[in-house]
Amino acid sequence: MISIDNLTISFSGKKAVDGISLQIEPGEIMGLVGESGSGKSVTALTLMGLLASEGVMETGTIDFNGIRLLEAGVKPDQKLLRSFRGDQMSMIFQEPMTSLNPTMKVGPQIDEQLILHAKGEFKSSEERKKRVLETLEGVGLRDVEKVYDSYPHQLSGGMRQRAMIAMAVILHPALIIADEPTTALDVTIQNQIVKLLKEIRDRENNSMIFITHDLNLARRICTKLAVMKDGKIVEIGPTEDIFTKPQTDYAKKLIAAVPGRRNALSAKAQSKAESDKLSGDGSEAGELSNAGNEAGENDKKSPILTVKDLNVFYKERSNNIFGKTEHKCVVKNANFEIYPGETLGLVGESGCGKTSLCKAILGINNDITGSVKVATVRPQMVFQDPYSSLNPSKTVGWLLEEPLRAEDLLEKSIKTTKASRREMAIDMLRRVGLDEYYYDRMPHQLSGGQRQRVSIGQALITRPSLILADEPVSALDVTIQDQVLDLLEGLQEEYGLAYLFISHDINVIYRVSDRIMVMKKGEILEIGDRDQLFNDPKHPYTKELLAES
Amino acid sequence: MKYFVKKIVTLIITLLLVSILAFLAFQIIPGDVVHSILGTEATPEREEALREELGLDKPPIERYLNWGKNVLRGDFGVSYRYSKNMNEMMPVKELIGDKLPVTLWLALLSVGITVLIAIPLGVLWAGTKNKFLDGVLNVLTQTSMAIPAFFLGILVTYLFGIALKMFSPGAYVSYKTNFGGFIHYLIFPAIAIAIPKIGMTARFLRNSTLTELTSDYVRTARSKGASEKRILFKHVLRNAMLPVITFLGMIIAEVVAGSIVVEQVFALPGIGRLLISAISTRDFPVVEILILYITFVVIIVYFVVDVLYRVLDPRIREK
Repeated sequence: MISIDNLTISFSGKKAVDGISLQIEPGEIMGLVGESGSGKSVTALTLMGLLASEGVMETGTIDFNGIRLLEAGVKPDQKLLRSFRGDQMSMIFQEPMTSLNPTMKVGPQIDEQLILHAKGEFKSSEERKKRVLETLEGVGLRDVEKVYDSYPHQLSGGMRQRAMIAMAVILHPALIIADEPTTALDVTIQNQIVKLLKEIRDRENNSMIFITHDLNLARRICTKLAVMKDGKIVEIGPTEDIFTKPQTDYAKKLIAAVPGRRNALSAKAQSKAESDKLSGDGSEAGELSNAGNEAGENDKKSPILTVKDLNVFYKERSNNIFGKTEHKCVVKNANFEIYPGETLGLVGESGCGKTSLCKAILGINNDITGSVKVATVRPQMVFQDPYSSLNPSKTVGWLLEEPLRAEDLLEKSIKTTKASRREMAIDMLRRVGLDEYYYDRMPHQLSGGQRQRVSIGQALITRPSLILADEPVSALDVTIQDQVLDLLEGLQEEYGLAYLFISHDINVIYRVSDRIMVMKKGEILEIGDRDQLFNDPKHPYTKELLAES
Repeated sequence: MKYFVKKIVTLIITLLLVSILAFLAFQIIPGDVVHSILGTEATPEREEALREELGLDKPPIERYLNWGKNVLRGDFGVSYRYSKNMNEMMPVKELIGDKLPVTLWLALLSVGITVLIAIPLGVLWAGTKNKFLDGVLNVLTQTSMAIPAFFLGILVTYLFGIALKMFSPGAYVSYKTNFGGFIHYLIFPAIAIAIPKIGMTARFLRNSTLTELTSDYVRTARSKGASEKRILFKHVLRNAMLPVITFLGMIIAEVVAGSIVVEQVFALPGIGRLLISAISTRDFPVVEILILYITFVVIIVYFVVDVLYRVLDPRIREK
């Protein structure tokens, strides 16, 4: 049994973890959930004895099967900790690419566990290799000899994470800590990894700590949940209890923010039902001024985006200076329309051509065949990472005004002067829910959610009727996600915007979409109304995708 | 295979371009070879005769093509300036062939000293938690980089030559007569060249090691219970060396091209000194070949760096 008692950790005087206590029994999967910065990872790293040197353990003790690992005010016994790490407790990290040594083959990296902790048990390196290969098989890898001799970059993301897991379980540790182990992976892979972790737990009865910000995921794997906020555990209990009857306000808020079919009847669905009722009878002739989002009337409107027989290519430069550049087809024969006021959700694994499709629609990539017709001013894009997609050396105001300076993008009726641009930027700030004084702020002074609001404002300021949103909430915490989705929905109603909404998160897609398009390896497998697609998926890949959420 | 063909084609094109540029430069810069050889007292007839003898009366394009043809056949021409004896011109090949070993050995020794000292020093520096040692190394490397080369040469001469009497300054021993003595003498100029390079390389390696130590895979290694020493040598060193390799390549290219100042201070008959005198006397055949040599060496060194990089970094290997 692992017991954390009254643990407080501070970084330069600021408390990152504030007096938490946790007990984890064998066979238990304890989920640590909460927003980023709530102290989840710091707790886990401290338990491993890997707290950064700037961190100070102010109070508390950590006991591991009756052995005191750490105690506030007592210098940690590094030798003892090292003998526990890897052997008794091991850790699986978020990003398997960077968490493995890029210049060392995968096999030897796993073998290192045996060399460090169990050298005596094996007579030769061949015997150790045999054990490593067995473990690789045990985590569901095939062709294990080849995996053993591969470098991390030669494996896919899922294979790398399996290798990480093999490394973590090879010595059958009593505790496995998984820190966002599936966040960097595609949905289909995510599910396999979660299954694998459960299998391992069933087989070996280890304790697990599962850290995630994804509550849907936590619900699927964890037996108990500890909800963390500002370094404190605000609520702890069996997973289903927390989901069905959360006690504290914060847990309630967190659960309510979870996008998902279970708490589906969202504000949007309701308002849609109402507006359907309103415009359903009578005014068939011309409701163009009311740019609502009646999905049912799509056939009567002309599409805002028509994509016909579209193939998108990209050039792969060959290594030889005289060699031909290779043409690779990344989107194959795409046909679809988007109507004013609707949201078309696009799901698919990474590398399936989602972003290439966007680039073709925006006209950034002209290497296409077929046609893309856009019935609006140039569509704008909202990107995934609000940290890197805003120029860090400019003010928010400047960033918002930037699209207005490119006059050829605007409708001809809009003429801008310096003063009018400023006015429009400030107006846009309000519309995306930010105060006027953010006009003079720099991006680094904003939070992730605020930055994404600025990105959205940037996309909207030229008044396009079509927005391409490429994973716009994937980098944000659940509660912030919720706010940003609300904003997008509100703006849609206000301006009658159409969205092409890309996400790998089925639950987010379900929440925002009117229709859904499924893509795999450059091909569109299925397009359909949301409910129809969810209730009766036609393509086996869609079924597989939906089975996971 | 493709890779090598590409590299060789690049090498040839570069050499061609550089040779044309060097040739053109000699057309543009003021000064007349014939004047500079014969002096101001010469008669016009004598000048005319020499001009013809050197082929300088022909148009530039023809001269360049002739020169190129000869170089391809391995005939590098004769020096305008140096002569073997009263009647015989000095072939460029012999002239450079004489001095090249001096520079190459000097380069080899200085790079060897740099690598042997800088790499352990950089790793030790990155690994140390001792604030005092960190400060000392910081000041030392900073200083070594700041001292001008000629002054460093004088310091080394004074310290090892005059104070410690480990060699006699100015008493260069030719590799032809006494190879051991030659190497012994070269060690000291090599040290003078190496000192600032050690400072730079150690600093660079320390920084890249510290960066690597914060990366995710190091955290993974720690989570496995590996000791700090094991992490440093088994995991970090190879990754931290990657940027250092490129940096070392630049250093090697620099020393192989001849260390003019240090050769001067230690009176070494290397190609650095030859290049300076050839330029000032408009000794075109010598300069042109030296420029080609330096270009060639630099490209080859970068090629070796590239190959080494591929060996160390599996990610580059496959691209």
